Amino acid sequence: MVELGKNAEPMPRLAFPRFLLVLTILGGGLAYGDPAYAYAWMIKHGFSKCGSCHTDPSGGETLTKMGRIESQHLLSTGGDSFDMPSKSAQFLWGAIEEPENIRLGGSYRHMLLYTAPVPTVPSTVRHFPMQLDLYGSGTFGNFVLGASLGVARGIEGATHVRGAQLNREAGDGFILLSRSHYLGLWLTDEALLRVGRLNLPFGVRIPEHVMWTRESTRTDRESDQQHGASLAYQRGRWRTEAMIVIGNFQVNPDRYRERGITASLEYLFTPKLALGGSALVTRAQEDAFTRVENAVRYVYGINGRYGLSPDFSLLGEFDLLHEQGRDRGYTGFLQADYEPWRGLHFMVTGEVLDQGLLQDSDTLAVRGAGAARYGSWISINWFLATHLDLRIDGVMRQDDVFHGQAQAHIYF
Amino acid sequence: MIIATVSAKTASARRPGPARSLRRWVALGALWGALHTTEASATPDYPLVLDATFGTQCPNPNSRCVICHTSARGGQATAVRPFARTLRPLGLTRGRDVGALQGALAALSDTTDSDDDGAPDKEELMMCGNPSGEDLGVGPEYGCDGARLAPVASDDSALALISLLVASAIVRRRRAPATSTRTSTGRD
Repeated sequence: MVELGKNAEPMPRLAFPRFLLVLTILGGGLAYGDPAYAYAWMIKHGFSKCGSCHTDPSGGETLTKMGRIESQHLLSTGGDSFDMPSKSAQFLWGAIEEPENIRLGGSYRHMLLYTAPVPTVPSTVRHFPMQLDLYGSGTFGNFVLGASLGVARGIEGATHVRGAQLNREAGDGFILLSRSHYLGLWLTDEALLRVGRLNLPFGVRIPEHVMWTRESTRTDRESDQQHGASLAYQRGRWRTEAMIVIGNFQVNPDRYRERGITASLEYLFTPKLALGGSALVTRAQEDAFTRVENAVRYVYGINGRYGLSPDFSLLGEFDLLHEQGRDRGYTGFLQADYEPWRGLHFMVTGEVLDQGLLQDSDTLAVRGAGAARYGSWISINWFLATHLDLRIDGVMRQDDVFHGQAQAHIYF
Repeated sequence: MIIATVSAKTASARRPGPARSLRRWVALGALWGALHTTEASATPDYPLVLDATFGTQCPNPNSRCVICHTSARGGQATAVRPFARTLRPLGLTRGRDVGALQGALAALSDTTDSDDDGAPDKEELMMCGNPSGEDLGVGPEYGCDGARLAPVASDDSALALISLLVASAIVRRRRAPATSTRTSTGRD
């Protein structure tokens, strides 16, 4: 049995870089948030540094060579039976060997969505490809290039996916999208500076992009990425990433682009307990979603990950929301993940949302805006083979019908 | 097809027959799905119902979500704009109910003016206007068009400038390359 290192090799000790100090000052004390993870529950296996498995030091998308091996070894049913890293863990199941400095990958997710009936409206069952993306990342000396390219079919009138759109299709046609693309520079072994379109460093980087916590803070990985410059820094028990947001240049015209700063920081109290916080402040001349002029948004949050045992983990996040024209609100989630057999996860999630009462009218408080609205998810996620998982979710939210979701995900 | 072939090839070395077959079928299914993409998210029919009812072809329907909602992302709790409050007693009490919207629009009086701007709601909708307040204009458009920068407010310019200055300062102060050898992307 090969012994697989958990957090790569130890980093050399270096002096606290001056640039981080400069950025911290510029951030005006806002730089307190949490780096996040695609599978944040990996902390129960002692994986606290997402940069070990992902080329993005804050997690998500492209896997490193080690990440692919761990995906097979630790995530998948039967993965622990491999005596040595299998070639099938690699890109396209080992059919194509990438150059040592290049990492390629991609995701295909197919979703089946059931919406329960209400009086006069029958139930619906739809299926659609939720994601078809290619990822790539290359290291050239101290420089790193990363990008994703995908396709989707838009829905006229829908805002999802549009934020990452590259072409100008506004209707139901095919859209080409790039969720992230960046040029990075490793300043030290611990600090990566990147410029481009990036996932926002905020909160727990969960895959459930429609969870209220991600939607209301506009920090999901689906299409909420922004252009800007980010500095990710990891040292010892601390990890942080701060980003100056200069707007999403895939939204036009310029008046709808948000500008500001977002940052996250996390401290590892034990190898399996991490607590952190995040902050985000942005301003747009006009908000693309609410159409409020001179729109300023503030979000402050705390979050935690706790691996109670190799089988059980807890994730949580709570954020305070404040946006132009509304009273203060909040959102949060708590997720328990139990993995009784390797690769088979049972998850229960509770979530809450109060976006804040509108200030400009005689609007009464309703659940979700002026009063708390609660929701819950019951999920089963089975990583049945290398880079292949199936997931079923039941989503129950106040003032909404039951939604059942089933998806297949292939990482190639 | 590439996926299916590759998948089958690599699996054959280690996996028994059923697993190989399963993987092949999943890969083929994924390929089929990619070639038959249908929808990507929820069904925002309501702006299209407005077009059909009033004989209009208003541009950029997603910007019209805020006629009723406080956010173009929609959601039950955000349907609190004046026109939504007008339609609620007329039977539109939830989303996904195209019939209820059509019924409420049919029951809407010709003189109802939800935002009290002097223009009846129906007239505003026939002009692609906003019966809940100020006209919405075209709204945000999506896709790459980076060259089309509108004049920005001074504080935005300052922020962008700060970001550039910070980036250049960091690059200038960059230390010598670390002694360790990176063999691949990331820290693996």
